Amino acid sequence: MNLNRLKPSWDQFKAINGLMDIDESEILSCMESQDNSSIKMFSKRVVQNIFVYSMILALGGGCSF
Amino acid sequence: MGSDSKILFVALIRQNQGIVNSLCRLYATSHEEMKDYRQDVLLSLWRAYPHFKEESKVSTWMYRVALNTLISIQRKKKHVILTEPISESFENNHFQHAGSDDNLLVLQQAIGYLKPMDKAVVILYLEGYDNREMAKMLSISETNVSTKLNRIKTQLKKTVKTLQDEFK
Repeated sequence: MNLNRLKPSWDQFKAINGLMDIDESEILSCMESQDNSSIKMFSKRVVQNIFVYSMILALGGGCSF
Repeated sequence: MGSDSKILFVALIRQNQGIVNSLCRLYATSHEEMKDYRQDVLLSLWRAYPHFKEESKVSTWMYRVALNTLISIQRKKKHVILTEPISESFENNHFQHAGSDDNLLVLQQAIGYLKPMDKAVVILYLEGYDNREMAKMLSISETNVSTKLNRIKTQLKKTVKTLQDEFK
């Protein structure tokens, strides 16, 4: 099959879908969810690091030769 | 990222909403799923935005990120649904007023029946990308693209014929 025959339909399909507005609020909410997840990830890392260093200090302190 | 980046990104998406909507529509099987896919695609585009180099075209960057996101979503699903894509959309007023016809329905349904990676290949072909560009965008070999295109042509020929017979 010659796929080029579908090209005009594809262009029309894209043009029609271009008429469907993506709300600014939808775009902004996606961006904010990413920002929030970055903050959560950062906080999680900080807590994990504090825990790991506390354990190292506690264990290191308990093993004084 | 700063507020300037956010404003630019929103404008970029609004200018190219046809690409985002078309791709999500071809991969989704319902309107709800289409909205979910669109959110995932927007999120991926926003994450990739800081790495966007202006040496490539905006549309090329968008196709690459959006298609890889959609392929990845469908791969994660245990059962890839190779069923009819959204067809009722062509019956609603918006599409009727926009001048939908049988060819569009055939295009959407025929592509909708393809596997996720095959859909991406045929979409990029229709966009005018050559095999080398498609291979780079989808992280597969040029030979693989060529093989897939041949297989897709055979499959589409059968599907289009069946669909056109149905519409007669």
